[in-house]
Amino acid sequence: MITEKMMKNLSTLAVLSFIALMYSSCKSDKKHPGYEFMPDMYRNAAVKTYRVSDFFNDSLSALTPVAGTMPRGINTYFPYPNTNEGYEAAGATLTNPVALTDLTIEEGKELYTIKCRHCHGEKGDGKGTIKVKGDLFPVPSYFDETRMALKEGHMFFSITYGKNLMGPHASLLSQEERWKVIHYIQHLQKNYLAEQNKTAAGN
Amino acid sequence: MIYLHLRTLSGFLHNTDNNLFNLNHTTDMAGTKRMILRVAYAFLFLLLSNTAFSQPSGEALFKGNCAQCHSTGDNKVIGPGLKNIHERRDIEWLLKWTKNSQALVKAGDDYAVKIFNDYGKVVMPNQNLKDDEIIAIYDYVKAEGQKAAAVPAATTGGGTTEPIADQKTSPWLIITIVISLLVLYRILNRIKKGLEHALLAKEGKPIPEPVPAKQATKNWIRGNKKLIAFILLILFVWGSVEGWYALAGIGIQQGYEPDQPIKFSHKLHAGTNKIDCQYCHSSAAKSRHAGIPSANVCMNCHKYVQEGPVYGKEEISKIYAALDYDPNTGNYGPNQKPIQWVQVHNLPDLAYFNHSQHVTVGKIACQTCHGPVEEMDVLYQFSALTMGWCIDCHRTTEVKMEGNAYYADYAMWLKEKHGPDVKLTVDKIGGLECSRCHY
Repeated sequence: MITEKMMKNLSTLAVLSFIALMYSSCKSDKKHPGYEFMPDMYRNAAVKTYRVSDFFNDSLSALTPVAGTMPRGINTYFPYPNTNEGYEAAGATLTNPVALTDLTIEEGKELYTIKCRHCHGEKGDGKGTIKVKGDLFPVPSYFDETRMALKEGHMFFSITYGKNLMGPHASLLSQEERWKVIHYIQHLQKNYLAEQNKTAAGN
Repeated sequence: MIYLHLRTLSGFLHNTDNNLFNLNHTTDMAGTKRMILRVAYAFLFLLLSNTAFSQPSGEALFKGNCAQCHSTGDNKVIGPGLKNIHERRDIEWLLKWTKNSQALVKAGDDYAVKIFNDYGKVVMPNQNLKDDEIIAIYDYVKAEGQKAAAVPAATTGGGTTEPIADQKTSPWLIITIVISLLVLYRILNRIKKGLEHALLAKEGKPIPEPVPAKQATKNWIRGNKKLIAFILLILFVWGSVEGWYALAGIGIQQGYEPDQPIKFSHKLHAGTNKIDCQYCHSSAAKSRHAGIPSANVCMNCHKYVQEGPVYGKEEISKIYAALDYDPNTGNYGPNQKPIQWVQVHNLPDLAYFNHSQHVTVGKIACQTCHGPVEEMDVLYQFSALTMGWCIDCHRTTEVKMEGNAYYADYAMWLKEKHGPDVKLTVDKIGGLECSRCHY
């Protein structure tokens, strides 16, 4: 039998537990994103970038492009195979289609600072900022004999496919951006040569 | 030899032909000063170290000339791992190969041809080194191999290093303590009562009827009405304030710090190693999304860096697992799976935000909205990402119109409209229009 008194006690208990619930605020757990007022308005049904989707069989929301196709507005055409012969062929035939101006060098510098500096160093001397167990990355300088002799086609090939320890950067830099970076690297090499000649003349 | 020590000391590990060697012609004051300094350093080094002299030079030479393509372990980098190479080849052969590998291949040496073919016919550059330098390199490789063999035995004996335990006190611990304290209180109370009763019985006084617990509580409440009212008032005020903030915080995920599938540290990558944000998040400059780097971007460094400073191989091997990559052979397998990172910044779908607009056009630093990411081991949401937060920034941030031909006439028109001294902030060019972000 539920008496009136018991009901009264129960209601007190309910009020107390409601207050206790309010104390446990939604923010206490950093691993939980919290709550939203209207989740169906905040999160609509459209498939989002990077989200898991069951529309295709492989859980990916974006499909990889069909082999041989090219995204609109992005030139990915590069007919040289990733072999030693391809490397030499690219070095012999490829030329920089981007005009060499102060602006392109400046843009190249900006891109170099973002994409290359941490390994190749601010000046291109191979002394970047990444340290592995206290040692710098084993990166060659742009100013040794072999690298000074590199043609722009060689450089383009190396950025596209990677070379030795360096990975391919085709997904990080568009073709035009790669050529701008090459402008800047050659600008660094020219400056280095000029400086060398100056010190040689000075002595 | 002392110079080589200096090179290891001062971090000049890369260029064999670096300028430390090319200073013979410096006879000026600065040169002599530097010489004195260097001798002093060498002296200091001799004081500090008693290790054998031959090893560091091999180390410096190896890191300067060989490490780009070879490791001292078993794993392939570009060329084969050099561990225990002294067991596979004698030093005469190694000298020949190091100086001119193609000569050996063309002469038809079986082992040379096999290595050349096995490693994708990549020509190893001829190393312009002296015999004793090459021998020092191979001595270093041999020593490293033996060191690597000795290390695992030592660590398995000593136990593995455990990650730092969670500093938070578990709620169960508190509950257990409270319950045991209550039990203790009950027991002590009983003992006290028993003793009191024994005392009363000894004195011949009647033992009082035990008051039922319910009645006792009621009596206590009746006697302490003011105190109870006060406590309830405090609870009510506290509850209202807390409840207000809890309700106001709904839909705001500031401070959200989820666990990620790989314990990636932005502090290590962007802070210590100073990798630019946009190296990995390369689409921030070009598209709406900042972009999660695909695993090939990780591999640009982690093909070489196979061990992290905190978790060792454990976390980096998760990248390899996702790519089905074998670090020993350097081959990628067919069973590749995406890494399912947990999104931290969940802007509602009803609001449109474009990264490139802010990063490329607005030249806003990433840290303006994302906070000191370069100091975060685990990434958390720094800003509130509420509409008020967006609008505050749009009201105060000036648009850089100088030198931008696109804005030349527009700036003039705006000055005519708002007066010549007005700040051209984002809201002046429509940054507060509803349809700018909601459509």
